[in-house]
Amino acid sequence: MSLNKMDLSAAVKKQLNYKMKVYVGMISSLVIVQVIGIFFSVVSPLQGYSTMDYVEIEYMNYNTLNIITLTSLWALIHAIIMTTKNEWENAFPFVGNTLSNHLANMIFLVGASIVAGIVTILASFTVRVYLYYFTDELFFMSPGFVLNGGDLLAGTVTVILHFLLLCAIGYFLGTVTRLHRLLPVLLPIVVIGLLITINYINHDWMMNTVEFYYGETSMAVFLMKIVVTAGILFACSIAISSRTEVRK
Amino acid sequence: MSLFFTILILLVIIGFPFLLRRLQLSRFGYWLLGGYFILLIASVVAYTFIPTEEFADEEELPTEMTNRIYLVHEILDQGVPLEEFEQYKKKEWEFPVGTEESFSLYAGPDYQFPVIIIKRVEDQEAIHVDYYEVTPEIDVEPVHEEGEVTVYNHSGELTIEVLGYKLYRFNSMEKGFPFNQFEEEEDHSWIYYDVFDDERMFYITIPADIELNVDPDMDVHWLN
Amino acid sequence: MKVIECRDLTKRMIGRNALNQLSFTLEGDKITGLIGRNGAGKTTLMKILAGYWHETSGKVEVFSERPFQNLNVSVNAIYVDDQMKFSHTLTLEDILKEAARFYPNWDTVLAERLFDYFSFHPKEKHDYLSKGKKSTFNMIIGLASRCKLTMFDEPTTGMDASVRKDFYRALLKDYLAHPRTILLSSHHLEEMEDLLEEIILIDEGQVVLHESMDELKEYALGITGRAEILEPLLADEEVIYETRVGDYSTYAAVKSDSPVIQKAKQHGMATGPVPPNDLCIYLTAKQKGGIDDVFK
Repeated sequence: MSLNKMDLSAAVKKQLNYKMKVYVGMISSLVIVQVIGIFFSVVSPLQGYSTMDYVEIEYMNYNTLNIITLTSLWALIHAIIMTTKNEWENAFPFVGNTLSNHLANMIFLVGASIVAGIVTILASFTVRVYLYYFTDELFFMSPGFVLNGGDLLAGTVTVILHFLLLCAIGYFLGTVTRLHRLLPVLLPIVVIGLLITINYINHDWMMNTVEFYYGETSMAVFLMKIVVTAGILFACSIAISSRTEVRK
Repeated sequence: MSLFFTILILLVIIGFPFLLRRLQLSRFGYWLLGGYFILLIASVVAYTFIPTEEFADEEELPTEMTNRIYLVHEILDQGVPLEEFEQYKKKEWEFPVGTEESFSLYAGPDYQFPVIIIKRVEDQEAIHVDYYEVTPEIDVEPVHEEGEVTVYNHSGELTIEVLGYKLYRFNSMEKGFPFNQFEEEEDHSWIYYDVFDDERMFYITIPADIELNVDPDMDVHWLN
Repeated sequence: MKVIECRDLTKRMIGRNALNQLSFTLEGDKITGLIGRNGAGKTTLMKILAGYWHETSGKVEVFSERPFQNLNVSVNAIYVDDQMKFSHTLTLEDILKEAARFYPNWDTVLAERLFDYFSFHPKEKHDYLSKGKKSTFNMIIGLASRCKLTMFDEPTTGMDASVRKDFYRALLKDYLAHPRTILLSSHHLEEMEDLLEEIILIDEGQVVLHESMDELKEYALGITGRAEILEPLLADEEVIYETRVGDYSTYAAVKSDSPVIQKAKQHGMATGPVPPNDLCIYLTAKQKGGIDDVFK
């Protein structure tokens, strides 16, 4: 019997397919989360009420933020779950090492972000179509109803990158918690405590951080910022777990 | 366009199962995703049938409603003669002066204080009250409308009563994140105030030698 | 070709050395038993060889490569134990299909036949199998993967006697058809005696004995004789094991080249071979005497 060879790219390729089977639940939950998001977008508009001297106006301002918020949670939570000890071991395929396992997970998350981004953008059409055809209320002016090609491109790129960033953050936090048994309990406390402290010392810091990413008005720079950040987070995840032993 | 979507849907229906077989991914979650995707594409197709002209174009949306006429502004600031606004006159009243030398002007019990312009006119034996109303030129019908404008004279006390209101109900849609990531989305809600508001104005002419006491809360402009 | 080479291999676990300067070399296609008491370091050694755990110091090579996180080792070596976990999204059928994708030498026919023979249901979930069934299923993966280095850690946990027998038989038949290096750790040495070609006895993280099975059978001899005669004979000699049998007799195990044997035979004492299983227990006994001494 001769020895077989396995290189990293072959291992990652095989593992990626394995991950797609193992994490099928992530795909089902994406669809469920999206449907719930569409439902909430349709039933819970922001209601506005104004009175002037002789005229009262009641308006419902719809948006698709619910879908984004729920799908963001989906991305964050699934990325964290992926790194938990149990999931990590359950999804550890037959042949591979920590690096190939990480890479396969990350490629899967990138793919999941892309799919999630596309369906999220398409779902905002579903909401518009439902509101237009199936509700009696009339749309008045509402320039936000119309999505043009530029909106679609910007929206799709942005939302994919947004999910990718959340996946990277979740994956990084999850990996950090695996360094020590106490960290799953300690880390959330430390992170939240740190955020509160920073907010207390420097009020603008958190706003500035959010602004740094989400206040960016150039698509190329935005893309760079997110890709570099996600890359650093993923690389850190690989680095801090390179000595981690599997299957204790 | 419809050809493109037909091809796209066919591609998904044929290509997706093939892809799943190929990758041995024939699992419930992926079928669910495929079904959801077809639903989404279908709604995009339905979306293309919505006439976009019904919605205001963001770029063409005026920064202020220039096509509106603001009576008070035109008359008081621009000095446009009242005769040009004859079409907006809705009602008029005339109260003979008789022996009274002074009148008082009150607002009705609703505390609605319309704008009132008062002018003293020589050679006039009665008090004329003209009521002008400018309504918005939009094809949105109010869901509720009631209103009664009356002016009456009770032994020298002129009372202006404006009762009732109009209710408009409508939807709007915001693009929101992520569509507005790279460009500031304008807040258009202020426009509604301009668009929906009714302007109501009373134009009162009184004989020159009559004294008229006005409730200090009322928004009154004297033309002379 | 050297399949496994360990030199001064040390693995530090919390508070103690699980492996302590362990050295041995394994060459050629053999079935080797890894024998030792609980906590001797069998599992630690196998997990290091499989590349799951890293060594603290010393040298370890599998197929001339350091195994930790090594893909070439990963594809050529399989480690089977009762802790094997699989995602709950996979059915047993799926797991076999996946294993087939990962292991180039996978024998689908063998896997399917064993699967049917042990009457598994394709749609069952691994999580819900009983302990013995789990072990049996893991064994199928271990056999069908046909890895150059196949390691079974306590493979018979939870299996009933007949399945255990089937397992040993299947292992032997498959090994004969496709020779490869098989490393087996088990408590049931007596059951595997006919199967093993070689044993490595480890205790407290060190190799105590690395012999072929035939040599092991002749490694020691047991002597039974009257205590007052035998005990003085043993006094200055190397004794593997010594115990009182009844009030007046003593049983002792000594190396087969020990001079005591000649003297004992002169006294007309009975000598006989020591069963390998007993020998291993004697060699790794923590102290003279046994559990009885605790209750004295």
